[in-house]
Amino acid sequence: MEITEKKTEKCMIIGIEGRLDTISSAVFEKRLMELIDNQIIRILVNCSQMDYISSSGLRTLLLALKRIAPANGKFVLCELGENIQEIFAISGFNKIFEIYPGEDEALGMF
Amino acid sequence: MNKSSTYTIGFRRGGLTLRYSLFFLSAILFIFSVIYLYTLGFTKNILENDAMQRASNITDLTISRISNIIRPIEQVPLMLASALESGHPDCNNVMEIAKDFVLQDSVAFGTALAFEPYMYDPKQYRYCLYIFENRDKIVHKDLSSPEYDYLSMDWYRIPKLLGKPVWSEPYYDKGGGEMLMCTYSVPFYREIQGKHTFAGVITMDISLQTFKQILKSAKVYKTGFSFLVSQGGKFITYPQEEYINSDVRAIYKKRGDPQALKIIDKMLKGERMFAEIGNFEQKQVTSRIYFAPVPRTGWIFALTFPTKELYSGLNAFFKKLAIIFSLSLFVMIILSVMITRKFTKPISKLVDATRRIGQGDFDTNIPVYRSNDEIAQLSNAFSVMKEELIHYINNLRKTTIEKEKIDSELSIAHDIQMGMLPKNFPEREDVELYASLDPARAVGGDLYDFYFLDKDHLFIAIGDVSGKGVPASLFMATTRTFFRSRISIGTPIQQTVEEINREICKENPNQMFVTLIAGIIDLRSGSMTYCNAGHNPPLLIHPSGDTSCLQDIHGIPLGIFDNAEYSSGTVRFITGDLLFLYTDGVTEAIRNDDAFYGEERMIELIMNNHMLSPAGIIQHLTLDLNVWMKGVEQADDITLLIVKNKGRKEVDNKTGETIQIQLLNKLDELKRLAIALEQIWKDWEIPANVIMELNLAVEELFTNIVFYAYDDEKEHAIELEFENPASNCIRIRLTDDGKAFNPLKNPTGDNLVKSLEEREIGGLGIHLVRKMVSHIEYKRLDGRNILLLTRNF
Repeated sequence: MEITEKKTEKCMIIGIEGRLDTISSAVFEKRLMELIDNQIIRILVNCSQMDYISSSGLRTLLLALKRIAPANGKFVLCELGENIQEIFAISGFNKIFEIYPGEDEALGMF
Repeated sequence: MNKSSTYTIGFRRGGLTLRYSLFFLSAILFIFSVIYLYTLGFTKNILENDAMQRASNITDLTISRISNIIRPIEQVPLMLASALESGHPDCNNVMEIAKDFVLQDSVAFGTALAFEPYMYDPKQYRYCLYIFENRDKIVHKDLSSPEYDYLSMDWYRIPKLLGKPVWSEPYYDKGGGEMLMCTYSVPFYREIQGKHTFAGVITMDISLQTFKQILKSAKVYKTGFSFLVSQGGKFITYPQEEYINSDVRAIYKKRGDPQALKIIDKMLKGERMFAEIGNFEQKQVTSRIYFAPVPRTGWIFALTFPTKELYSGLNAFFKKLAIIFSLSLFVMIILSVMITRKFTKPISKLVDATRRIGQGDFDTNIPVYRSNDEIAQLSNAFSVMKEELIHYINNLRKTTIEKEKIDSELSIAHDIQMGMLPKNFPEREDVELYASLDPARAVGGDLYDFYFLDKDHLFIAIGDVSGKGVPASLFMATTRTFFRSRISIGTPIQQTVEEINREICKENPNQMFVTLIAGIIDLRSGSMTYCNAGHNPPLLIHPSGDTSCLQDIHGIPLGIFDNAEYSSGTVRFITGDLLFLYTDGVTEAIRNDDAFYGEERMIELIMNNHMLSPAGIIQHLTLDLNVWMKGVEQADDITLLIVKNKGRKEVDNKTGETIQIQLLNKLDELKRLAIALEQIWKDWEIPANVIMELNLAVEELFTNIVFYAYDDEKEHAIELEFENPASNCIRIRLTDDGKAFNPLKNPTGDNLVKSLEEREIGGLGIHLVRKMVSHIEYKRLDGRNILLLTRNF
């Protein structure tokens, strides 16, 4: 898994490339928590290159959302692949997260 | 021959000659000393007694001679005195008798008659007539003149006082005899008016010159002499005139010798005694003195001589004796040296000869002695020893050469044998193999072998040839070469073994045989077809640690009967299984108390290390064996061979195929799992959407087991088995040996409807799994958790 970070005026765009499984989600979680600790609480996660997500990955995203929402931040996902969308659907996470099909669309929400 | 070192038998320090000579010398010296001292004491005693006896005899003789002289001197005045006391004697007649006696007697010198005043004649105050001899003439002398005053003279006064006859002290009679004399004075009495009244004294003088002659002959030893002492302690006679009339006690008083004074006192008391006393004249010299009283007179006769003269003869005797002793001592020393030399000389020769033999000169001759004593026996024993030594060294030389030859042969054979064993252990994904061989001696009878017949078929063999050394290793090499040339995939293994057995039996002059296991592993299916020809059953160790023993024996050892028949067996490995082959050198390794290493200990060690690589297991086992055999020579070759099946994807796409994956309880294993899954799905052509869901399910369950199944820190194996029973069906079985846990008991669904705030983090995995599979089932069996997933698509 690779994490790419792109800072824009509105928010921080994080790209996930590869598998977000039990091992890699620990790395992702560490990075996310660092950002939040530094008051970077406007985050857009681009999942276009994400091949796979395990429950740990879902858990990490949930953890970030739970910290950002009370701080009046914004945590948005976009460009989920078909398989990933299905997992979000099965887990009910599609009802918790703000998910947009395209990155521009998502950016417009900030 | 080196003569210079042969006869050096002088007084070497610590040498026998010196030691024995010193010993004899000391002993003789001691004996001589004892004899000398005893003789000295004894002889001195004899001499002392003898001297005393002689002194006593001379004393008695001399005293008796003096008495003989004195007796008539005393008798005449006694007789005349009694005549004077009877009536009215004629004084002139009395003096006539006395005068005649003086003339006749050689000793008597003079005689005197003296009266008390007015006693001779009432008109005459004094009367004293003295008649004495002077050169054969008789001289009459009237001593009544007032100048002489006889009344105050000792010779008159003392008898008057004592009322009895008295010998006077020696005195020089001045106005009388005009010479040194002693006087015997006898008092006489008259009856006047009925009273016994002292009337006067009649005397007889003797010249002391008389005794000088007598005493001159009374002596012992060379300078011995005798003398007379008066009752008052004055010398009556003495060889030196000047001592006469001087006081004996005064000599010792002046000298301050109380010991001598005591002796003198005893002498003057009239005792008889033999004593040692300081010389009268010389202070430092001691003398012996013998003294005895002369009866009636109160005189003492004494005999003296210097002490050194008593022993003068003795000293000469002992001087001679000492010379004799010294001479005999010298002779004894010479004799002892000669005798010890006589004994030590042959020993020294032997020492010299033995030393040279010790230095390797076996041509040295041991001296020969014809007598039958200990030296000769020793010498003979040395001769025998020399011969045996030569014999032994020759033998040793021969055996050493032979041994060196064998050693070099063995070393060559060892190099060949060890070179023959394959050491290029395969590095492959699907199989891991490691083997070792520790020969008991330079060349062993064990063998192991492996090689790939093609990319999917691995040939392995282990064997133990009866016997050790070069023949065993050659036999082993032959066997191995046969296998290498005959084994092939197409031929059943038992057939190959039978052929090889026939070949071996053809040329087996030593009747050797080999127990052996040969097998071909099909790496695709993880199955091994093998033939055990009388070898130790190999062990199959499962990832769980369970161990089973492949007990089947398919025939007798090779090389015994050429028509022996063999069968074969098949064993299937699952992923992670270890096949352990060994020779009996392992289980029969001996400890210093003769205990065998044993199968139990071996299995326990393998089970404790079964998660390690084959090389790691062999390393541990070898280490443990070395500890076991510490201090004991290894009795048999030790050969180990381990094959580990690491699992392989079945490429064959036929349905009903089962694929097993073995994983450790580590998150890192997820990578391996992902790779394996990818391969399986690809092989079985599973649709992409199903793959994602199956991956999620398997990974979630695996992660769950890693996180929650184990309380300890140890490594555990988690087994995954995949089955593709129909083209649209996948079955997956997860097995772990962790604590009993049924993940399906977790509540489902409720979580989904909860809002963000209510939703708990976690507990999501099982929910996802349920959604991903068609059917899920949990079982607890034999201490294992088993999850069975079925997914239809």
